[in-house]
Amino acid sequence: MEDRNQHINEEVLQNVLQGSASPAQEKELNKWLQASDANKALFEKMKQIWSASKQLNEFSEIDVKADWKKIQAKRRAKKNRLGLWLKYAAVLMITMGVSLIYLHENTPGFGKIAQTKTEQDQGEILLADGTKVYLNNNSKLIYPKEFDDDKRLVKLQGEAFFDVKPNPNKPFIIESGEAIIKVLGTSFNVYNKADKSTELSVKTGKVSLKSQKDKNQEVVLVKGDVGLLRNHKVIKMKSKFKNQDSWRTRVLKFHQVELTQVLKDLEKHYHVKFENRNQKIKDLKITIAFDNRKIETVIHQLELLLQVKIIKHKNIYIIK
Amino acid sequence: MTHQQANQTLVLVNETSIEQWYNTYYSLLCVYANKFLNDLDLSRELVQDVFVKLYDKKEALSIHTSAKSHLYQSVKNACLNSIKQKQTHALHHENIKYLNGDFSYENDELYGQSELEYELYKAIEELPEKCRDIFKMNRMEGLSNQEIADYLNISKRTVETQISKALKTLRNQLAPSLLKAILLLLLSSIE
Repeated sequence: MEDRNQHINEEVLQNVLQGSASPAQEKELNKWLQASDANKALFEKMKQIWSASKQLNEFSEIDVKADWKKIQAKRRAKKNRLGLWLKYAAVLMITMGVSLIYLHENTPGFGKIAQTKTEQDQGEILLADGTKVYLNNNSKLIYPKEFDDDKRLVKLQGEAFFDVKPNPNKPFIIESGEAIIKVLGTSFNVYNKADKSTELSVKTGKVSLKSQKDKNQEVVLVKGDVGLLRNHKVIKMKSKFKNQDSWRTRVLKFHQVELTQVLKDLEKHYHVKFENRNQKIKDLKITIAFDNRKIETVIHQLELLLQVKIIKHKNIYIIK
Repeated sequence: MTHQQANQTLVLVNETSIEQWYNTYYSLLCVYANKFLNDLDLSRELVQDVFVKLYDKKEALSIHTSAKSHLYQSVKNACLNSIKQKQTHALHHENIKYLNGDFSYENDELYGQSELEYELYKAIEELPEKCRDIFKMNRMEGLSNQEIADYLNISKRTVETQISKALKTLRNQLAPSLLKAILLLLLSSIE
């Protein structure tokens, strides 16, 4: 019967698929298969389902709901990574900011640090602690607008006269050329010369002078002393110049000073040159004072005092 | 956001559609990826990442044909990258050749097989409880009919009846996909 051949005993089918069919059952299957193509197709389907169903363990292992949550979590994590980039950017900005602040603190003119520079002129600076600094021409002072808690530090190029306000808790320190000058509260003159040496003349108080290169070399100077730092060596001398800060005070005072020294002071103050051709007056000691006088007046005064003639030839004053 | 292609078909990509696609294709894609990677956990991570990318506008706009096709391609590419990176040879290395081919999912035998498996899985889950359990014990746990009978304290006859019932239900439900699978099988055997 056609009908009969359309259907096969499910049990037989199963056993064949499972591989546990008896020869009789196998024969029955073959007969059914050959009955029609439809049967063949059906059997293929069954085989497919049969083998495929074995693989289905994988599907059982997939927790679809839980994995959906994982996806949402990954989305959030991605957004956070953007946040992390922003964080990195922020750190970079802060680092740059800090660098800028550092520059601000430590570069003159930027903010916290000021500088005063003179050229032909002279300058006068009042520091945060009340210290007065008088800058000679062609000089530069770098100083903070506010001093540190433990020290007062400035940097000097050229020449300046310092009148330091006393403060035992905060030493006043000047870096000038190679020199480090430390004071408590005194007045003194610092002069960086063109030959890179530094000359420190103390007017009042106590000042120490040492070399940055060799900090063991330190001299302590008092009134009337001159410290000289040259070729990395520090030495103490008695001052020859009587008027170290005359450039500032405009006052030149000489009391029983040798003429040669007087002329030297005048040379320095007025930026002139003297040539003494008069042997008679060479060893004279003179007492004279000039208070804010022009060079012409000084020359005239000298002529009167020394009973000499002084002629200006080119840029040299020649004493005859 | 929408993407409009030349012949006016629209693929609407939004949170809702992504979730729909997820529910429809996720398991299937995982099983498909696993045919190459032979690591189900890795396959799941990989397919999850593909879905995460769908939320990116750029990714969404690149869907030219259908979501199904796009997902299929994305998973294939991800598998390829994963294998290249790890330089591991999946146990089923004969499957790897399918990665390199320029198949669309319709022609991809492995994809077709994954689809069948998924349909089958869903259909089995929908079987009546007793029938389902017995069928699963036989097919997935590898127990014999007698062992199942002993375990459930029923007759072997009952077990066999239930398995037959399952097969009948399944083949009726899977008719279209099975037909496709058979066709593919026949086609491949001709080559």
